[in-house]
Order: sequence, then C-alpha cells, then structure tokens
Amino acid sequence: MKVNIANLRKCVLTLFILCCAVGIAMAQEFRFTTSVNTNTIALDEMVHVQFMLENPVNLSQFTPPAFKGFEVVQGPQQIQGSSYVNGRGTTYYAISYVLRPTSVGNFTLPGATARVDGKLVKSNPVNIEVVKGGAGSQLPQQQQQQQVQPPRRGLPDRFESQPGIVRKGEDVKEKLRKNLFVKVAVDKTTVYEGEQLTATYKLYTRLPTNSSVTKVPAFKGFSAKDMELPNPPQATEEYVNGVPYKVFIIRKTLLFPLQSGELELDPAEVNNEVHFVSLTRKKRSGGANDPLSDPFFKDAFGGSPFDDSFFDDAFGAPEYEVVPYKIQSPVVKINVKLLPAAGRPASFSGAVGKFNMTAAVDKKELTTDDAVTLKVTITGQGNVNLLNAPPLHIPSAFEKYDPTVSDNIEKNSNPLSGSRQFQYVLMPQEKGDHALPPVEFSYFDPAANAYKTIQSAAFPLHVLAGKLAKKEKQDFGGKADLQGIRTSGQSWSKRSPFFFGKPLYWMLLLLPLLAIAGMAWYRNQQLFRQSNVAMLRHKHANKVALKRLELAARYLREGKDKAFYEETSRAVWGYLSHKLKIPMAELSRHVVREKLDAQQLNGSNTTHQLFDLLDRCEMALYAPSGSNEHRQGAYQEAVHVISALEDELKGRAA
Amino acid sequence: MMMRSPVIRLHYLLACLLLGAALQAQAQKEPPLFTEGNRLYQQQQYEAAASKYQQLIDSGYQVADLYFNAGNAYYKSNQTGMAVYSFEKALNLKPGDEAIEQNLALANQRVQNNIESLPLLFFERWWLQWQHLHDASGWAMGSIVLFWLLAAAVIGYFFVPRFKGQQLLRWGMTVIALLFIGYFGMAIWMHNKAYNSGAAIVMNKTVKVKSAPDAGSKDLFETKEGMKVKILDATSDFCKVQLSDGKMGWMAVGDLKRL
Repeated sequence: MKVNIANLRKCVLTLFILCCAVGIAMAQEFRFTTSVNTNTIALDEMVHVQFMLENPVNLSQFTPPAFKGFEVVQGPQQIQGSSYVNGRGTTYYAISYVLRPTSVGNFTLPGATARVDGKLVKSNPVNIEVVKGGAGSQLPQQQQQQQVQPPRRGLPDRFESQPGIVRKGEDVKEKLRKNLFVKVAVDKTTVYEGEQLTATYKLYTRLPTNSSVTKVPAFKGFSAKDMELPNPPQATEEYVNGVPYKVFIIRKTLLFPLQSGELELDPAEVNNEVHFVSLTRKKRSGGANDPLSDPFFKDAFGGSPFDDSFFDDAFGAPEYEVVPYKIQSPVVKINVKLLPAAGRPASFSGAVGKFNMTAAVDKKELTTDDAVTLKVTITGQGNVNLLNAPPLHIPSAFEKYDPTVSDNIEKNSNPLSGSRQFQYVLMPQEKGDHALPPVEFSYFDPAANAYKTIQSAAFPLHVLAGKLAKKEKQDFGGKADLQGIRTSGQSWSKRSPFFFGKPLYWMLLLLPLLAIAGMAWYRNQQLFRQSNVAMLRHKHANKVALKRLELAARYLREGKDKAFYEETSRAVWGYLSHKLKIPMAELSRHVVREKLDAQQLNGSNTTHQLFDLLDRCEMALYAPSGSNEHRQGAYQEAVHVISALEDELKGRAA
Repeated sequence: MMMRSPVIRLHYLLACLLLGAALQAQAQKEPPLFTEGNRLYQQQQYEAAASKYQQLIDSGYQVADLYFNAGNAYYKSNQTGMAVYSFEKALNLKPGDEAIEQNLALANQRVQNNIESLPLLFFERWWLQWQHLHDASGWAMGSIVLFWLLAAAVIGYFFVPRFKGQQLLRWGMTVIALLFIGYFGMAIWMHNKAYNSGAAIVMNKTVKVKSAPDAGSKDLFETKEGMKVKILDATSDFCKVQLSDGKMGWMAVGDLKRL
C-alpha cells in the first residue's frame, strides 16, 4: 500500500472567479457546440440558445433542430467574426435563438446540423428543465444587448447568466448544487493489477468562490504518483450539458493497483466560500419615482445600457453575501483484475506496461582483486517506479552484493514513463574464464494482453589471479569442511574426564604429605630414642649388675677366684657407671664419691659398704687369698650393696 | 628394619590405587547407542543420530567425543543452537582439541551474529595463551609432579643431614612451591571453567532481550539462536545476560541452555 502522499501537499486553490469569461487560447480546430444560458427556467422565463461553429471551413448548410416544447421568440440571429489571441486566429459563426417554453417538464434540445467541408456535423444536445414560474425575467433581452456588442475577450461570451447574483426567489442551495461541484474523471475503470490508470479530480464552478481542498483521497490499495499541477491553478472551460463551467484540476494522479478486486477511490473534500451578490429589488421599487424602473420606460428604450446588472447593483444597493459550501466528490469504483496465471514466465516480478531492457558489464577482463559492475536498465511506460530487480543467477565464483537502484522518471509523464537502473557489484573469487548468465526480464503488456520476456546476451569474463583475495580463499577452503565424527578410542565414563578432582588425584597429592609426615614421625622417634639411651641404662643398671653377679656366682661355684672377683668388681663398677651416668673412661673412686655426694648419699652406711667391697675385690685380685667363705661373703655383700644403692637412689629420685 | 615398613606400606597403597583406576577404565565399554548413532550418522539420518547421542548425554556420559558427534549431527540437521551447545561442551571437556574448535567455528558461522566481540586486552591474551600451555589433565599432572618434588625437597631439607639447611635447596623449594601453586590453581580453573563457566547458549530462533526481569518490559535488543551469552544474575524465570560486545539485558530462562 504505497500511497504517494509526498506530492500531496495541501494545495489550497484560491480561486476568485470574476463574472467575465476567461478567454482560452484555442487551437485552430473545428468545433460545433450548443450552449444555453441556463438549464433551468421558469415557465414565464426565456432561454437563450446558441449554436457556435468555430473555425468552420466551407460552411454550406445549417439546420436548426426542432425546438420541441418551446416557441421561438427571437432569431435566428447570426454573428460572425474573428479574433486573434496570442497570435492565433479564430473565426466563428454563431446562430442564436431566444426561446420561450410552452409547458412544464424536461426537454431535450437535439443538436443542430451543419455541413462543413462537405461533411454533415451535429452539435451536442442540451437538457432544459422548465419549472413553474417565478418572477419575470428580462434576461434574454439583456443577453441580446450583449450579443450585439463585439465580444469582450476574443471569443464571444457565452451567455453570462450571472449565477453569482442571487435574485429574489432563487434558492441559494439549488444554485450552489447546480453551479459548483467536484467530479472524478478516470480514464478506465477496469484494469489489471499493476496497470496504470489516471484519476483527475476536477472542480467545476460558475460561481465566484474561494475554495480550499480539505481532504485529499488516500488511494488505498494503490501506489499513487501525483502529477504536478500549475500553480496558481489555471482554469479551463468545459461544457456540461451545454453550460460552460470553469474547471480547476484539484489533483491528477497516476494510480497503480497493488491488489486485485474492487477498489474505491476515496472522495476529495472541498470547502468553498461562495461570494453571492443578493439583489433585493425591494429597495429599487422603494424609489418608485425612478424612471428607470418603469417598465414602460424600459420598453421604450428597448433595453437601455442602464438595464445592465451593473447598474442594478450600483443603484439597487446590492448586498454581498459569503456562503460556505462543502462539497465531496463521488466515490469511484475500480475493478482490478488479477494478472493471468497462464503463460507467466518465471522471471516475472510484477512489471506491467511496455518496457525495454538493456544490460551491460563495465569490463570483460579483470583480476580477483577487482569488481565488475553489471548494469541492468529497464526503460519504458508502466509501473516503472515499482519495478523489482530481475532475478540474477550469478555463479558461485562471484560474490554478489545487493543492487543499487537509480531512477530516472520523466516528470509529469502520462502514462508514467522513464527508466530504472539496477547496478550489481560482483567480486570474482576464482580465476579463470567465467560467464555471467543472460539477464532475463519479463513484463505484462496489458495492450497485447500477454506476457513478454526480454533476454540479454551472456557476458563472458576473463578473470586473472589477483594478489590479495586468493590466499584468504584457500585458508577458508581448508577450514570450511566439517570434521567427521569419531567412532572409537575414548573411555566411557559418566564421571568427569578431568584428572583433577578425581579421588586418584587427591590420593596422589596426599602421598607426599604422608611421606613427609612419616619421615617426621620416624625422625622424631629416632631423636627420642637417642636422647633416652642413658636413661635406659640407668633404668636397667640393676638388671645388668645382677646378671653379672649371676655370672660371678657361677665362677664362685666353679672355684675360679680371679674370674669371680673380676666379675663382681665389673658388676659394681658397671652398675655405678650406668646408674650415676658416668662414662666408663672417667670412672674412678673420686668421681663416684663426688656423684654420690651430689646425690647426698655420701657418708651413709651403704657408701661405706660399697667402698669396702671395692677394696676387698681389688685386694683379692692382686693377692688371691682367703677362703671360700670369704668369697661367699663378698658375693653376698655385692648383692646387698647394689640392692641398697638401688633402693636409696630410687628413693632420692622419687 | 624400622625405617622400611612405612615406605613399603605407601608403595603398596599406590599400587592398589593405580590398579583400581586402570580396572575402572577398562570396565567401561562403548555403549551400543553410540554405535547406533554413528551408523545413523553415516547413513545421513542426522536427526535420528542426534537423538541417539542425546539419549547417551542425558544418561549422564561425560565424553568429549560423544558431545562432538552430537554437535555434528545437530549441525547437519540445522539445529544451530544445539550444535553450538554440544561443541562448546565437547571443548570444555577436551580443551584445545583442534577438530572441535574448527567445527565450533563452523557452527558459529551459522549463527546470524552481527555483534562484534570486544577486542581482548593484552593481559587477557596472555592469560589465554597461558591457559593453553597445557591441557586440563596436563595442569593436574604437573601439579602432582611438582608436589612430589616439593615433598622430596622438604624431606631432604629437613631430614637428610647432608642437605640440611642448604641455601640452594631452600631456593629450589620456594621455586617449586610457587610453581606448584600456579599449576594447582590452573587445574582448579580449568575444572571450574568446564563445569561452572556461567555461560549459556541461546536456544530459540530469535529472542528479545528485555530491560528488566519482566515479560512486559521494554525490548532492548535481539539475540539469535546459537549465540553464547554470559549469565551475570538469575531469578527463577529470568537471567541477566551479557553479550560478547558488552550489552546486557534480561532473558527468559527457557530460552537459554547453560553450559
């Protein structure tokens, strides 16, 4: 739904229509028209009919029609003349009648016939409505007066009935309806989808009015393209039912239906301010002495120049009145047909009209670093502004970008014509000889009611290797494949494949810690043991001594004197060494005495016995004498001394 | 005699552990579904193959190659979101695998990704290079080896009278300790990255990202299927996500699949 609103600027036509005719420059063509000054008359009024021949060649015969329902009051009256407007000469020949209706009703005056240049021609028929009488009218007489005078502007005035003047008893509304309306002219009402139609919105008026367009049609379902209109608007003259109207074109739009079915052209709305001049005869008749108002006087002068409406206005104290009047154009229905499905080419993309296509490439030889431009130009008449890019089948060796579109549409062309150009930029990816396939463009020709296809030639291209692009392409090519699936060679586990976090990991991490801990424990143990050897000896001194004494006892039984004493002495000394923590090398009586002093045992009975025993053992060693009893006594003493010392030292320690 | 017994005990323990692990690895055989999936894939019935693989994944297998095959099948059946998800998962389980990286890149090309990632800063690049120095198990093994070395050094330094208190050994110990901390940290990082990456893949064709965790809030931008986003925050229905170009917004939880 592309409605071209851009051109739809709110155009305000300010029309101020004067009561005099606007002369139009006419071509030197033959025209034969019938015109009347009004289409509606009262029974007691008269109507003026004029048959106008413009530029007649060899006019040889003129036959007026039968004025059925009317009687001829005056005429035929012939006027002949010529005029020059803008260097163009026009000759005219007018025959006019003044008619009076004989009965009420609708009448049709058939056209008059004339023989021009040997051919029989006929003018247009005119409708006249006769209604029941109102106030009398001297209109035809006035017209007569005007007709006699030469035309004011080139062409003869055609019955200025002065609709802008409201006379007494005239219905303003009816007057407005008859003299001011909007029409829509459409060149065709049945079109194909996409086929152009032209809609012209025209304002017809015979009244002086200020008009402005308040609502413009939206053209739903159409793509619209507005034609440019002259500014300020220029009036043309058109006859409707024999009556001339000033015609202003409000809008002229080229429409392209975008969908099929019955579409409507929306109405346009025009606001008018109509300037009326009200003639109130009362005032005039108020001045009853005025000789001009006397009908006799009037008759005597046969319609004096003072009888002109101008003078009426001047003397009759006219009232100006502005009447607002809103009009709407009728809704026009357009029947849009679907484009025929049969024979629709694949390359068709909605072009309707009459087209031509050219396609060209800017170079034939290039490297992979360059780009080639393919230009496709479509020229012709139709929906040029809606053309789609023709489908291109570019080989994969080229990289294609979206085309750039440029339009060159002729201004104010009707039908819409111009050209649209599509520029494709193509980048060759591989070297070698490539060919761009032919470009194909299809359109529907509504005139021929058939699809037509245009095809260009193929474009061979010679592509050389460039410096840059190739390497990238190769790199990409290596990577472009999907690596295939793997079928075996994995360990299936529902647990994390990560070594980290598994129990084994933590075990392995724990092992050195255990090793360190073990080392530390072992070391500690070693140190402890080392520091306690002395204590052990001290602890076991009694046991060791007793063992030795046992050995000594065996020697005693065997009678080995020397060995007995040696062993007893060793037991006692060893005991002292261990118990008092004195190294063997330093062992002497002196040291032992000191140690025992430190233990505060010196001077006791046990100490004396100890030293006695040691003395006896030494003596016995160097002078082996004495009896078995003696030896037995020594043994008993040794056991006693050691036990006593043990007890005493223990008691001290405790 | 007293010194030997704990060492023997340790060796025994280690041997048991290794044996156990080896037995465990041996016990797991290829499941029949996998073979079937591979067969379907080779017969170009990609969707059927993908569903077989997915069954295995759903049953809890964590195997990089399984995810890899599933990713391929999804890729071929044009399910870009699932393909990217599977490849990402495979790469998490086996970081640095070239085939997986290549296929992930291919799948990412399918994502209509018109966002530009922010360029990495120099230290981010270093960090990435550092991560790729070893694979995940490499970091873990390294940390163990270093820890053993460290333990040996500690034992030597403190318990062996010959090396006791040597300056050189102390320096060596410090260096090994630092290296160990580094490797151990990386092992943790890699593990974390695989399981708690905080990333997610967009699963639906086109998802609007909202300005607030509410379906009625304003649309900020659009994400496409297969896009990887970072999850910053989450409610029960919405996640706050960040795109690789730094844009942030809220997405419905159902549109995302967490890695």
